[in-house]
Amino acid sequence: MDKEASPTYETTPTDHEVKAPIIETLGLSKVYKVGGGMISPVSDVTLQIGYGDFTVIFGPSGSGKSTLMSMLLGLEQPDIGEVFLKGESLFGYSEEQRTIIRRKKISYLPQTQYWIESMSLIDNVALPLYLLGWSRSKARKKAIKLLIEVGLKADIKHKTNELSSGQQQKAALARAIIKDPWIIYADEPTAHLDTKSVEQVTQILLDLSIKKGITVVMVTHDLSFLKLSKKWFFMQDGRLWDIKDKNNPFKNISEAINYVEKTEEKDKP
Amino acid sequence: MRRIFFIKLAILNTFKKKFRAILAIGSIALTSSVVVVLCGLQVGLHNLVNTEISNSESKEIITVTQRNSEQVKLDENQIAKIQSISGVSQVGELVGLLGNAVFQGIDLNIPVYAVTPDYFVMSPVKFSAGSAEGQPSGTGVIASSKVLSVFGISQDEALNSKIKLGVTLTSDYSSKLASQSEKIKNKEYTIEGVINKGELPVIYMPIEQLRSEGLDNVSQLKVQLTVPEKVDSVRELIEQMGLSTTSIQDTIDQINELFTVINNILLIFGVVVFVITVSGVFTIISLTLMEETKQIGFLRITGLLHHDVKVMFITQSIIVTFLGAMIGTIIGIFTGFTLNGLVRIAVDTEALSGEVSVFAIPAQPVIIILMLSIIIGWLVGVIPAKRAVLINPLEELNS
Repeated sequence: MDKEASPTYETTPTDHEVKAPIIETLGLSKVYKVGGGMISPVSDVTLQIGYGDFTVIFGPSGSGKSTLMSMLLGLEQPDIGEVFLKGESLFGYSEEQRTIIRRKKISYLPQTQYWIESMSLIDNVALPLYLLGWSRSKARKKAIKLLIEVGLKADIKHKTNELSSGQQQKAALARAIIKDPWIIYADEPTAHLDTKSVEQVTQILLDLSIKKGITVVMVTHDLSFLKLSKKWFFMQDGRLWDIKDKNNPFKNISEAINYVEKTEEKDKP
Repeated sequence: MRRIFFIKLAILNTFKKKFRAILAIGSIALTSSVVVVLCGLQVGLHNLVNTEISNSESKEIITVTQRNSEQVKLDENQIAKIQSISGVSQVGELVGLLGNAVFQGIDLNIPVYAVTPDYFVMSPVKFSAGSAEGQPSGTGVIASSKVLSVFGISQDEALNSKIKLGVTLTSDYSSKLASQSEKIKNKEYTIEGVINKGELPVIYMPIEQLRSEGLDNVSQLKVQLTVPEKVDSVRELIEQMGLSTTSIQDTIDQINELFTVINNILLIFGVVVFVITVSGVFTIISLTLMEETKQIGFLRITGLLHHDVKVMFITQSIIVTFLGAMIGTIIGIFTGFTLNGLVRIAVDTEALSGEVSVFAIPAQPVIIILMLSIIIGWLVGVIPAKRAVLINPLEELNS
């Protein structure tokens, strides 16, 4: 892969089952020294995510989901193991090259939105294109088109802080897809939304995955996503389990869900 | 386009907290303006003093007086010796005496200077009426404007008016006197010129008028040289004759010494201002970083390079310091010119040569302030920028 230029892969297959992995990890581990001991928030994680997959990683708080995502995004270097993006070692690139890959082809959708308040909604949505060096008029044109697509036609002239949580999340989705990314990493994107907004945001994400062939990797507590996804992973104490894996500590999804629910219940104050 | 976006973002972040931005820029502007005013006053006063001194006498002139401890008098022989020194082009003579002037029944005791006609060429004064050339000569005298105001006449009326003038000749200046002093009776003179000496009433009369009365030595000589480079050697020769010499260069040197001290004080002040500015802007930029970590974190995930983060922070701090310095410079210059205006209203500028300017734009300090503001901006932006690139973006977003 040309480390500066956009990759040449153009096709967007829709059949999840037969696709080669766009993301692959091999024995990924991260170790921190805490006090006199060591902790490993991510331990020996191996996974494969295909082109256009809608993948859900779920698990209780503190199970290592954020650290895993940080490594998948190329922000944090693993101590052991490797992340492959389109077959190329992600950490074989320099930090600057990884940043350029993120700038061009990887989007991040956080649970709370970070807007530049002094900029308009359109400019905020167009921000990834400004980072790519697009002209303001061209970038704004595309931002407006996407804001209309996600159902915010009536709110285009509003400021970001005038939008509801659901509207903000839709705008954030528009911002995430504006640069036509290969992958969207979504971190609990529906955490603060009402039921109606959850449905709308989920639907948009699914549509993107299916129609545009964008790979979505979602980290969530929201178990309703499990019904929508064909590929899901369960994370517990730094280990990632594929439900199809025979070594999986749970017999089925229901058992894993019960475990997460019980853990979350215990953590509640 | 990307760079423009970062600069725009830096500007937006700078003015996000308007009060804080105004406070930071204002404090830098205030300190910069004080420095500009002080440096401008220093430059202006230095120029003013130098101009006044240079206008009063050129650098090729040496003033010769008797040395208190020596008995060497400035008589005909000494003057002839001085005139014969290589490099001396002419010698003007002056003797200061107590005089008495009478005009239309008004009697006034005043200082009278008896001078040779070339004296004003070597020691220029500002003539309000009449001409300096060849004056005073014959029975012509030059009066200061204060004399005219005592006599209650205008300059136009004074020119060619007759005045009675007498002086008291002392034995210091005449070896022929029988007593310690002798009053020479009043003679009629014509006022042929008016000079401005501020509040000083003084009359200049031709020295020739006193020679016939017994004057045979003078109190001061003005020695004009062909070139200023001869000043030191001629002074040395004259001093070897037992006489005392001064030159305008002595005054200029003293003034330059004084202004060197002022410069050093300003330099210390500048360093103090520098430290205050650096710490103030550093605090503000650090505060901004603390508030913008989530934004920086998100932008870094979205594709902001370490270098871009540095550019943003450094741009942000340079905006604050440079804008502050620019505004401060403008305020300082405006204040300086206002001071000039006030001084011109308050001071009798007639006594001075040309327009009085106590403030002049201190070009060099202004350039230094503006350049320093960019350097300070860069310096105080670098550390927060380095801290900003070290944050873990995802951790910041989830914190």
